[in-house]
Amino acid sequence: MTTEEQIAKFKTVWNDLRAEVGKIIVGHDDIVEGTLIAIFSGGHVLLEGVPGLGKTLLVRTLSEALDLSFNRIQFTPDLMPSDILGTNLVVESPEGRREFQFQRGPIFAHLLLADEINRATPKTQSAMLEAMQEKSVTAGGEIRRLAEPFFVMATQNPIDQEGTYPLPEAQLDRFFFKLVVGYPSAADLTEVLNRTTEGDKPTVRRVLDGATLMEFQKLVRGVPAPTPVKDYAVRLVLATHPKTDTAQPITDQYLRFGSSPRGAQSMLLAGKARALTQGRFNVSFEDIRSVALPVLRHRLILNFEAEAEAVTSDHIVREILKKVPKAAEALPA
Amino acid sequence: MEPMQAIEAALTRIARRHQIAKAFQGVAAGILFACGLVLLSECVHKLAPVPTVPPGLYAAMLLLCAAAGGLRQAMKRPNLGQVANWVDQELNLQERLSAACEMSARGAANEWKSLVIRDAAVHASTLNPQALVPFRPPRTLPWIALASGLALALAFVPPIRSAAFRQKEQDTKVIAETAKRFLEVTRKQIEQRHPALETTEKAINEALEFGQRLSEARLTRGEAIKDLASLTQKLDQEAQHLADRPGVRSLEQAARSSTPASGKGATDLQQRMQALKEALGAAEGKDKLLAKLKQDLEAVQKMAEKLPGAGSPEAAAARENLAKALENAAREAAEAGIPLEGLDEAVAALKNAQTDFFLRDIQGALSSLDKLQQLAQSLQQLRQEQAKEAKTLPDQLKMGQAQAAKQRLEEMIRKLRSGPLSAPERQEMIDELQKSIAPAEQYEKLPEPLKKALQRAGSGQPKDQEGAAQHLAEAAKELDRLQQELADSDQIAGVADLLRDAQEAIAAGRGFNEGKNESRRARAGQGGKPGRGVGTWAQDARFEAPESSEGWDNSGITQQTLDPRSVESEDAPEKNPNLAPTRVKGKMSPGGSMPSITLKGVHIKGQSAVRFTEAAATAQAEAQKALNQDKVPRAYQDSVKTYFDDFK
Repeated sequence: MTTEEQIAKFKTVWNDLRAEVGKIIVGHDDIVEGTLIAIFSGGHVLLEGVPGLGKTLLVRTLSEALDLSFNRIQFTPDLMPSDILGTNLVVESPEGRREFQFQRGPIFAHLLLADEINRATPKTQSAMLEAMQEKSVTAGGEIRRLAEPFFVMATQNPIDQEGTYPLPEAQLDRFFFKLVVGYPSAADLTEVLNRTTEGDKPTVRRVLDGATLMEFQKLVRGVPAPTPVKDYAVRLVLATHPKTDTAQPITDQYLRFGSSPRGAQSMLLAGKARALTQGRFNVSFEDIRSVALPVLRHRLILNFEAEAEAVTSDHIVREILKKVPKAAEALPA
Repeated sequence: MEPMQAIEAALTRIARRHQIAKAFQGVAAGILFACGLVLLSECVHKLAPVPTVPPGLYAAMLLLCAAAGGLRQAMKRPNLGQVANWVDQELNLQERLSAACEMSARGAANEWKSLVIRDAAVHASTLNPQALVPFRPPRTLPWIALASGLALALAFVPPIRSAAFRQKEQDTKVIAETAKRFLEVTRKQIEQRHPALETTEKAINEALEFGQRLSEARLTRGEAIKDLASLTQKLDQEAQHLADRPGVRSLEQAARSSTPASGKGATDLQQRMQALKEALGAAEGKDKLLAKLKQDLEAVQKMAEKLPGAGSPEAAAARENLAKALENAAREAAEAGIPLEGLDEAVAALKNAQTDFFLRDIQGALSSLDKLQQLAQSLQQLRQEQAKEAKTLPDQLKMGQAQAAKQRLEEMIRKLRSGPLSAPERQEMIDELQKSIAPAEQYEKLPEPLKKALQRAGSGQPKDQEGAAQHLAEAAKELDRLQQELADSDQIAGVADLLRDAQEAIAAGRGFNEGKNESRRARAGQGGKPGRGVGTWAQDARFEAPESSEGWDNSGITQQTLDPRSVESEDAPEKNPNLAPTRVKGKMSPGGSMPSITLKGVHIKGQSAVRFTEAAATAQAEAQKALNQDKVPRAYQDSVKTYFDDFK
């Protein structure tokens, strides 16, 4: 299949996926789009929002639309890492010998829903670090590969809620996107009511299998990005580094730490995926700008002043987007 | 066309158009910059004493800045990548063109490259350079208009200068103008007569060099006056040194005590007489007829003024009589060959009863007659002066008529060399030479060759006759030398006078007026003495600088010497009533007590632009000059000297 044909297929699958998810999820187009972009980019998604906004439903719907294995873990404070990763159990063999046998945890699936991830302790939260980055699990001294594609779709309640443990920076950095789910509009809410209280529950058709998804992930990585666009992504990330020459004033004022290089990687990769969804064959500044917020918002560590003044990382990212020029090299004046 | 070629062609068109548009903007920016410079320069000129920039230079600067601005922008040729970036941003093409350009530069072909370029080519085909890069009026246009308007308005604003600076500028101008005029006049003098002596030439050249320096250097008034005074003194000494030579002094004294027609004046006199004769024409020697004609015409004029009213028989008869009288006068004038303009017209006007025209024409004829009478009178005076011309060598030497004496000697030489003289002729020559020895004693070496010539002429031998001629030639040469030295002395004195004029002009801050300080020697003119002649305005040629009167109000003063004059008009002018003494104490008598005179004085309006010290210095210099030239009566000299010496 030629690249052009692959792109056409991608577009078709994209539209189908949107349509299938749209059967269940009302509104939240940006959330749906963001989640799909992350999936096609091979990244994990952290969905944040108050309970009842459809975060879990979205992930469940996606799992239904994608022909992938799906597991769900409900994170609680007493959840242990072994509850996620699996554990070695002493079992008796038919020959009567007793031996250790690894019992796989729920993480061994293509699509893992980590529901209310911030309700677990940091120890348990960190258990997923290796899986998310290396796509493997080390248990009992043995490294076990996870099946690809592997995605973690985590949901979390706003961190200031009772009984939550903020995710450590290293954990946060491993999420490709952090999508903030807001309240639905009146029209959307009405539609939600109509769909959930009347008639039959719609069924979701499977439109994409794992192998095709892997191909699409490869296709996304092939999308060319012009140097100025790459440069823009780099400058955006560098602008988040406080106390450096590239830092913006707001960065110096409100940030303790800026984005890691993963931020730039994620931004460009997401931009590529978005370009394909727009029917383009190259990444544009607009792609980078549109994915900058979900990529960077969880990677910026605010300082005390920002906390005190209730300045959010979203505000800082928006400010940086305003201040950093798109093209460093313009036409001669 | 390949997709990439189409993209490059489209981008090249846009780049070229962008370059042209930018060049226009650059030209406008250059003009604005130049306008700014002009404005700045004008402001500086208005506020500070810096010279103004000529409009031509402004125009050149404007052109240069516009060209530089245009070139600067035109030289900045963007590459296709830059243009692609710009077009992507302008048209929101989502970096399609820049991605295509970048990928085309990459070597290996792949599917992505082809896709990106094809996609970009589709968009490039819709590009319209005219719409994308329209030629708009420069953004700087309002600023250019503002700057130009301000610069133009500023041109009408007078510069702010201190009074001291204005005075200094005026001084500089007067000094330069004076120096220039001095140079002109001095060079003209040298052209008329080149100095005979090397020392004279050197002294005059020194004066010329100084004049040149004065016209070029920016000296202050004090410095210029000081230098001028120093040089004047030097030239005076030089002239005095020449004039003090015994032979030269004697020649000058003898010339002073005799007629102005002597020497070179004789030729001049002849020329003047010839000119007057030509002007008189047929009227020469007909003084009586001229007087009669004038008398007749005056009588006719009086009768015409008393003519009875028109229409009466008496009036017709009177007009008939007048016409007859006029016709007679006209006939007499015509017969004598004297042209009287207006006489025939007067007769015609009388016949037509046009009394006004008649009187006007009669007046014209009378004026013509007056002029002829004046010319005749002048000719008569010149003839009287010519009559005083000495004829013999002794007389000529006695009267200091060096030129005439030289001519006489040359005549004698010609006679001696023409052949053997007869006894009476020889005796006559011997007598003349004998009588010449005594007056020649005053002329240094002149007696020696005369004596030798007398001895040789007395022998009557042809050989001695030739020797006598040679000695006479030596005498003529000696006379010529004395004459040249005298002329050189006069010339140096003349230049010194010019320097004094310049000094005075600079001190007074007015234009150069040469001739005002003519020394007695210079006015005497080549050994002559001052005398009256036909009225001339030449010596009153004034070269006032246009602003020279600034700072003085001389409305209360009238200067008679500037009035038109003729033969008679050089008589004592009427005194300014403001200067008439109101009270006279004592009695003026040489050697007696000094009379005291109180004058009303002249009220001069306004504020003096000259410092007191400079005015005092000028007054002292003028007073000293007047004293030196015996312009101050002897009885007053001491008092005048004391008065002006007391100036601090």
